[in-house]
Amino acid sequence: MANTATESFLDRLINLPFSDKIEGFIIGGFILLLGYLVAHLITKAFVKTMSQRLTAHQMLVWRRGIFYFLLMLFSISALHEMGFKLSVLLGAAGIFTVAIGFASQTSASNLISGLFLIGEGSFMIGDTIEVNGTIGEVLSIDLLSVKLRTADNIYVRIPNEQLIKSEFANLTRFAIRRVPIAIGISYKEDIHKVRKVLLDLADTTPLVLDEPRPQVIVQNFADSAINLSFNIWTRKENFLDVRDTIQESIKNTFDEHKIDIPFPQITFNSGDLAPFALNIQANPHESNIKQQSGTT
Amino acid sequence: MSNNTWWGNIPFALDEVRRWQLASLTLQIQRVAQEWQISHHRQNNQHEDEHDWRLLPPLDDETMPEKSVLQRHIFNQTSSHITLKPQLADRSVVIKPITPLFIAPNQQTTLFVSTPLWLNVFTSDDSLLLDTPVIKPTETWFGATPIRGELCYATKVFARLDLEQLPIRSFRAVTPIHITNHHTQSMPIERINIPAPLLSLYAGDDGRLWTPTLEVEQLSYGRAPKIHLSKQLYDRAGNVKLLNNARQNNPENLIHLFENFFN
Repeated sequence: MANTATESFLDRLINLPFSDKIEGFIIGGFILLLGYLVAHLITKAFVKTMSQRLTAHQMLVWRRGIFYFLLMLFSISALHEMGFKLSVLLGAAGIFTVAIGFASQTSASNLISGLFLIGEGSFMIGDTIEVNGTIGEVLSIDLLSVKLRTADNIYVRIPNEQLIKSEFANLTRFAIRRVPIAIGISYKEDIHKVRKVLLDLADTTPLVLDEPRPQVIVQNFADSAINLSFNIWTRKENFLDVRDTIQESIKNTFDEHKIDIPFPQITFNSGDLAPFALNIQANPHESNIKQQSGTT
Repeated sequence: MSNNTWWGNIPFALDEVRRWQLASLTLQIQRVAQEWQISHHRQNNQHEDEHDWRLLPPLDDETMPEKSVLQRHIFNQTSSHITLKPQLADRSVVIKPITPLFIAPNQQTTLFVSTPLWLNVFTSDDSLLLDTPVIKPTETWFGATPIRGELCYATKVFARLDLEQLPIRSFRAVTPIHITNHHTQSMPIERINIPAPLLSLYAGDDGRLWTPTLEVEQLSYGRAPKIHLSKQLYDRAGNVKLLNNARQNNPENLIHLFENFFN
């Protein structure tokens, strides 16, 4: 009974006589191959002519769109030549979609996430993004995953679903970035003087932008230091350079102006007003060594 | 030829070396049979107002500083001379009047502001070998927020009303800005964006370098002022000679400027 049902379904699907079927399949296969080549060539020509006008990301979207659209047209034509009835095929595709959906839930989720990611445009090819602690330059946004290249030149694949679900940061979205530098100064320092020294330093560092203005903010009074936040702005390309050079310059300038960057300090208090009495004694072991070295 | 003319055609014999000190920039050019060797070095502590320049004595045992940048440009055969030309900045220059400036209602004025110059080195067949600022200006962001705006260079100016008060400097070009305030309220001028890449550069009789005048008209408060580049140079420039064409010849940039001229 089931056998007959399958036969009738196939009969309905392929309604050509047997001899024509082979011919149809050959022609269909040929059309499919031709379609692939044509889609490939047209996409390539498009990329060549438009490469100057479009960004890498726009190019990717257009390239994929044109390629798959052309391939789909040729596939429909090929299926038609093979004798498949499209209406029946689409009906069957509906059933298959449900089945495939259950079987490959993750892939389908990634696929749809990929489409959303491309559509949303939160990042583009060439941007640097940070996802769960991984920082890298976006190499490609594919249907299933996004490929990154880290600073260590490691290739990282991140499933699209993860990017849709979790938080990620696009570090190069805007042309300029703020470089926050945390500095601790000793309690004895004059904050006004430190502020002036830091702002003068920002003015004389070439890669630091004049506007937005550099800022020095007193954050809090910590255990061993007054914590300051020194915020300067730079072009996104210079972020790492500036963070490196400005910290070196801060150390040198502070040394020059005798501004103290304190180490962690602990004050012991016995509860009495009187301070602890300390007796400094020579280490007996050390004095032995000295004596020995003196005799030799 | 006035004393501050550091540009022009420079003859070079084969294997000849010449050196210039242009403010804090040291430039050395050597002609070899098939290559031009150009090295330059910029001191760390440069000052915007420097305008001294001199030819340095030919090299004996004195060499360029270690950190200098050497470029070698290869040709089939090098020509017998090279051209030094001044050029305006490759991005817009934002000028900040040192003291706040307000144009009273229904008044007009011409401000003279100066912007920093770049050094261009050309071969006899107009191949550009070097394009670098003589005094590198600080970069700045010109826009209402850190999201929207453009990267520019920043320079502080007095925004003189009297041309005589503006000193003649070898490494800065004068741009007259003619501002008319048709509105009933004062027009504050905090920062002005000079579209340097759209301006050509001319040498005047008096030794100054000039750019065309920018005409600005404020029609109503809160709306972007109307701006256009005057085709004629300022009268006081006298007989002028074109030194270098504008870097860009793109009217789109002027439209962009409408939003951003004043901040």
